[in-house]
Amino acid sequence: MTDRANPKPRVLVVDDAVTVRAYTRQVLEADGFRVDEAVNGIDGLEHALASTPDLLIVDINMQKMDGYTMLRRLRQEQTLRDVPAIMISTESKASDREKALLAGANWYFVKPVRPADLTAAARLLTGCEGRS
Amino acid sequence: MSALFEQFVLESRELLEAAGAALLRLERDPGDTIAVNDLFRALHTLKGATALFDMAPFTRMVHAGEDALMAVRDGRVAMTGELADRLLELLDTGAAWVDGLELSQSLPDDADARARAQEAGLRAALGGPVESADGGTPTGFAWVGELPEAERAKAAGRTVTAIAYDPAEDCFFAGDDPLDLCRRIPDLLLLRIESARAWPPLTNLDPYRCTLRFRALSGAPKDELTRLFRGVPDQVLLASVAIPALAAEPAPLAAPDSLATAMLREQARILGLPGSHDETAARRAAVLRAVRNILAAEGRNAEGAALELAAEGPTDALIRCIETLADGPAVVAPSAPAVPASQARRALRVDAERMDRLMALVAELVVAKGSLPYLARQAQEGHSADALAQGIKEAHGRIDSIVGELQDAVLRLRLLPLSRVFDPLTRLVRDTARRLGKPVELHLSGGETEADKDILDILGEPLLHLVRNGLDHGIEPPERRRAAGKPEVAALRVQAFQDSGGVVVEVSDDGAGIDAAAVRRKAVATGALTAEQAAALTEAEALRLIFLPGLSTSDSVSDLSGRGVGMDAVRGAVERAGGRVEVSSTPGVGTRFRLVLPLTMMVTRMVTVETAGALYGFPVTLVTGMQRIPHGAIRRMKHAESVVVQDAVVPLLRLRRLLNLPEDERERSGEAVLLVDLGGQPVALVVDALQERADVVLKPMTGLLARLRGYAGTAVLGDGRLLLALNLRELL
Amino acid sequence: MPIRFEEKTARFEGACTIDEAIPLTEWLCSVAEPRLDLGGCTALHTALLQVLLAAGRPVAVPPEDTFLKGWVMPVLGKR
Repeated sequence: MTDRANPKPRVLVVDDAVTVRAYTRQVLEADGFRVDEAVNGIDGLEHALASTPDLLIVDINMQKMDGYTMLRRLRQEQTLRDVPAIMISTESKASDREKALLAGANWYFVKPVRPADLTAAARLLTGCEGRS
Repeated sequence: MSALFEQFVLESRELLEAAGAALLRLERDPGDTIAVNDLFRALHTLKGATALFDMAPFTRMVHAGEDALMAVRDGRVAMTGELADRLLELLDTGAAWVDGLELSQSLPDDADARARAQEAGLRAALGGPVESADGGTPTGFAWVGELPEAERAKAAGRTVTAIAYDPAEDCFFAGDDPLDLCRRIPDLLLLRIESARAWPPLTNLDPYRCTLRFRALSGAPKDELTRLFRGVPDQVLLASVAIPALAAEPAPLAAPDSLATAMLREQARILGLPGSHDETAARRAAVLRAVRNILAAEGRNAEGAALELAAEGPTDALIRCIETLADGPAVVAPSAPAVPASQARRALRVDAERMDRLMALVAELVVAKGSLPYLARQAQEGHSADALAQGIKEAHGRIDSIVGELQDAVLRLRLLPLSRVFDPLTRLVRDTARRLGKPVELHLSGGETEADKDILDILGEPLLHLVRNGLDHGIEPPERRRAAGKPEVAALRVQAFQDSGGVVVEVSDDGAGIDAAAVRRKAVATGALTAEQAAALTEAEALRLIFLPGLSTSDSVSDLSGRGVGMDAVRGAVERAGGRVEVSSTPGVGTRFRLVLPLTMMVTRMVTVETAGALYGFPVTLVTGMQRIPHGAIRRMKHAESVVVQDAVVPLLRLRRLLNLPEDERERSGEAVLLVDLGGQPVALVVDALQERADVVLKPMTGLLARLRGYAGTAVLGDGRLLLALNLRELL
Repeated sequence: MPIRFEEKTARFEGACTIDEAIPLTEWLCSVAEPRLDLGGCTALHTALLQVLLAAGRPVAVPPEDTFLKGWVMPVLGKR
């Protein structure tokens, strides 16, 4: 929901590729989001627990803890179980999408994601009215 | 150079270095699984990074390397020196490209050819054609990648089936007409007709020798085409290939509407995913929040109320609510031409007619109501009692008939076609069959059969489960079907029809059938039955054992049908709706499940209590309170007991005594008491324990039980326990 | 008769089968400037297509059939 007191929704980007994180940050910040980064599943869990973001954007294939595991763990936390989550991966098979949704994602994007799609999805899932 | 691009150059160098180091470790020790994983991960991350920029050859080349490593990791191929050479070459090429990118920000002109060469080299090193993962171009289909953009246009951005059809030279003698076969390719996106060799002068042409080659792309799934070309399996190659979107394609900004719609649909689908209670509860919470946000973002807050209402109800209702939201904003101008016909029909055609009838009846009711003030005035003016009685009787007659029709009209309003639960099956079967590699044809019939909305809500999940189960356990893999002399394409039938007073839905497959002996063994093994009991069962009774909790005949646990939790859930859901499930099966021939459901159901909310080990229910409308009362608060006068509740003396009754059950001898400090209102007469009823409320479908007592006084009916609870609904007034 | 052979024109009508392959070949060999009218052709056997491709003669009237018009005519036109 649009929160007047805190107009910038906070997005936590979890990806082990620094370029992808930088790209996502650039795209989202340009659209008025506040972006936080985490480098793997464990790091992502810690960040999420500490800050309770408004949206999660999670890569699947990561060191230490992958995106599926992270999301499953996160969904067990009372404060985080309903935080909307987008999973992003290079895999385009239907079964990958299914696995992501089963793990707790609300949406799945195949890399690369067009900036317009990413911001549109982020706006929808955080409840920000679009500019258009 | 943008900061992002700089970042990419830095990161890809690191990744290439890490990959190189891992590869060297791997070459020293081919069994080093950590090295394989490190290498794989480095390539995977690199692929993701390259995909951010417009450098398809780079992405493709890395993808090929990743595929090769996947094969190594899965033990499909061994890490050979040659393969290591190829991979090192690939890394070198990558490193050279990164250097070039830093300078010129573009890949060399020959990048595409180099990438292809690397792919080919890797494939050769893997020892022959490797089953390609989606996204790569499978062997024999290089032409797909080489198609000019104009020809690829229709298929761009889609996963399609590529067809390479080289008819045998003598195929005409077998009665084949290849061109005609190509004409029958569904969703034909591209057809190229080529000659295998140069044409001879017409006088030398042998018209009966087929020298044409066909290359095609179809939007239909591979299975469907396998079926089409089943007569010439040796002459055709089929492969699923993802056709990249055209570079020249004007990147259409995903209209926020369409993304919102897709997202809403996905949320509805997520709710239907299997999982443990905790998982589904968490998904539900996330979905609800996501849907609320999507509505807010779309400025559709007004529709939030419908969502919150549905959120209180069962999952099926919520799913349907979200699907409706996905169909578009609630207010659709009737003239809006953009609404697809099918959706418009679903929302308006049937319901509008029935709505009209309802409106007409309400109008009649208003007219009938008009006679009442007139009668009241007559009574005031002192008209004769007889005349008044006559007038009241007439008004009653009119209102009564209208109310009867209203009830019927409302009931019909709730009737919906079964196609609502059938429609999702097509996709489910297609996806599941593909995933399992079992060609299956789904035959749906009777989708126009109507049933009460609540029945549909209940039917949805069991139906999905039976269909999944049929695909997963019933239908054999194609090899086994072939060996058994069955058609390779299995048939799955779902049909519905109306029977005397009920709806019947049958799910049948022509698969392996259920092995009754195996079910018996399993029942004995799990301790559900003794060996003697199992042996004494008839075949039909043995089959019914699959509906017991925890009994699954398949030893393999798949991610589709779970661990045998399904069949008892199916039975539970159907029985809760007041219906029943039947199963019949012939080994080797197939299995048929039959769900018999009532046309409508009356849901009653009950307060449940436990007494002497059994569950009893009282309609919530009669119960005014529940409390624990200490023994000291109970007053005894001869045999009669009473208790003071809210300053009133209320008779205290004991359910055990009313039902002629033995007294409760257990040590306890007080009594659990249900306060019941019997038409103005409050009564306190002692029970063993108070339980939660439950919405149940009451079934009347049948047979000998029907004559028992005091019982209103029975119901099956969500967890399968039986509830006896009591009619307290009759018990007193 | 799916193909009517007139003096200079071969008219393809309806579903043209493999039975026409030899007559078509012979007619094409014997006529100096054959005129091909595929307007009424609804199906063309592969063998006939081969004959037409080998002959390399222009099609005077293209078929109205969507499949033939969309996928086969471009090949015939190339020759």
